[in-house]
Amino acid sequence: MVNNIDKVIATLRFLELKPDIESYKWRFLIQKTTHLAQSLGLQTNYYFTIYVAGPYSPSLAMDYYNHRDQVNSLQSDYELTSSDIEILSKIKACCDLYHDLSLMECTSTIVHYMKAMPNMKDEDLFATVKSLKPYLSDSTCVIGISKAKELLFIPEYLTKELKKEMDEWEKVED
Amino acid sequence: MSDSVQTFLEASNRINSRTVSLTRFQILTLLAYFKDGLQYRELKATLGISDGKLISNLNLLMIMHYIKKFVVEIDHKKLDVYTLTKEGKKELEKMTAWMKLIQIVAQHGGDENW
Repeated sequence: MVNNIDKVIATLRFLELKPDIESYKWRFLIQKTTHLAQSLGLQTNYYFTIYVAGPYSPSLAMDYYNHRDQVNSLQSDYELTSSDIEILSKIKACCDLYHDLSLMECTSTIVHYMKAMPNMKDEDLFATVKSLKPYLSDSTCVIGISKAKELLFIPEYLTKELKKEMDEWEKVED
Repeated sequence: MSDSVQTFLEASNRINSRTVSLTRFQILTLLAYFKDGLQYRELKATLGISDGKLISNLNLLMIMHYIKKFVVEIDHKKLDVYTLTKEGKKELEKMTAWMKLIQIVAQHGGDENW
């Protein structure tokens, strides 16, 4: 039987991360990465709280403390499925999240709200995150909303008309 | 009934009265949940109290060796992170056991048939 932590390790390996459980920064990144992957559909079943240092899962923390050598050496027998790879490729494409931890925290928080309340407006998302995490800058929150949308975007929604419009915008930007 | 009251009173004597404040109890409880530690700014945003009040409570908990502080660098900023120590965990366990006694004594206080 595959444990959740095996899937987490396989995730970290796919994302080419080199975690160190002794480091607060790495534990932070594992929490947020696992939350993003689970929110996007990876089949782990950790409970995450959104409050205080959220998204945060105490059971995930227990898992990486109990398997610290396994996590640090990225040892996992779990083979990622094609669906897992599709999900994780989206996260990999947002590699800037790994260079800006505030943006990672903001994006994972917004993904949580967008999944829980898909009809939430941008201004409400912004206000909710700012009230929960007032130390995040306004620009981080705005970029976080954009990143969350990018991560949760479903390609089937990309109609020919929309694609054409986006291409035109890209031409203007060039 | 008197046995429970006696147990409660005895347990009360074992509680560190300096821990029994809403803020300090909240800090210890949150640090027990967030095992990786909590940033100062996360505690401040959550508890909604002044810097002075938060720092004095954190310092007191550190003096009692219930929590410890370390510094991490995140996005080129140095941030204080607090974690629960073994002593802090033990004190919190004592307090939760004491709260259970409060519940027992308080619930049965008006029950003559108990």
